[in-house]
Amino acid sequence: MSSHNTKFVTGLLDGELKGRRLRLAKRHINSCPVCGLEYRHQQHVRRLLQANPPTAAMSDSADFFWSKVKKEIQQRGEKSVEVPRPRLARADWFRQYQFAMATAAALVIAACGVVWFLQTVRRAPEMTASIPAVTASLPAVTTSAPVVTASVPTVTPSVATTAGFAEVEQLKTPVPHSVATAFDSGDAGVTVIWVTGLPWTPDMDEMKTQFANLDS
Amino acid sequence: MAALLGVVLTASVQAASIEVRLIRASNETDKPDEQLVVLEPKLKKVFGYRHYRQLGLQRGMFKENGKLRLDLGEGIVVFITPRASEKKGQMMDFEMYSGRAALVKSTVRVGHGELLVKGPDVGDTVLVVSLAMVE
Repeated sequence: MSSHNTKFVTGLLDGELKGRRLRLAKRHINSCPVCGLEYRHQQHVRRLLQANPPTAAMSDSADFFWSKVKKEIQQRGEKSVEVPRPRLARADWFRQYQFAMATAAALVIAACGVVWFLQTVRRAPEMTASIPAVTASLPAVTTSAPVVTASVPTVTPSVATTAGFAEVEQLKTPVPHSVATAFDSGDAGVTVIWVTGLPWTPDMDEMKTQFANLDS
Repeated sequence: MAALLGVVLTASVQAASIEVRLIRASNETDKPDEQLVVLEPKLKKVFGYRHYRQLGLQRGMFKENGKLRLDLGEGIVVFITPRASEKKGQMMDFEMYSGRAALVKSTVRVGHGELLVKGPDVGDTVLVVSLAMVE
């Protein structure tokens, strides 16, 4: 407190000062005769005001004033009266609607979670589709090598003797970067040739166009 | 969604007639294809998709030393070349084409069971070819 600032005196009397400011203000008032005098003067005025509160004086009696209010209300009837609304700053707006905003954010997060969950559930069959039940694998042949053959009996003797299953003696896929694998599906009772690595196309027309120009 | 395009080759040893189907597998919610009533349970077990629709069907008489060309539509063509008729089934060369591209070349022996060929992925669907001998 290097200067005689009466704001500190007022703040001290109003109880607005906290912590370090409060300690400094008190110390300054105790050590500075000018500010100490001001403090005591304001304190005295406040005590006088508290001891003698102003009384509201009405020119009319209460009943007469109320009758005037009623008359005014009746005269206005159903006429709407515009009540000025305070304009909120952005920070005030966020503070006022913080619970609504938190609820909205929670709903958005929940909705995203539901969408993600549904997509995961929908993709589940695709995942199972790419992992067929393989009871016996037959040779996998890549295209980079010349024709590679393998006989089923030497790989899985039980497959060859199982009635109903086809036997794949030779297998290859000439498409680059693709692999063909043959296996017997015990659950379905069928033999499957599974070709992976073929070019993906978005629709049938694109497939025909792309494969028509594909050398193999 | 995924789709499966399949060719089913069905072979019958005695009658020497072959049946090949082109099937599209997907997760659509359409009602089941009546043409695939028998085959659909097997397709579901192998490929896992919910719905299967037959896009093409071709049958051909099995002739010794005669090459069969079966056009299944959608640019998928299957060539069958008989090799030998054996007790266990019919030995044959099986070739599957899409346009100019040979997707699969194989030598197979088909008896009473079906042979399924998983073809290309098209969008969320898959094309499957089914081959079986029929009497």
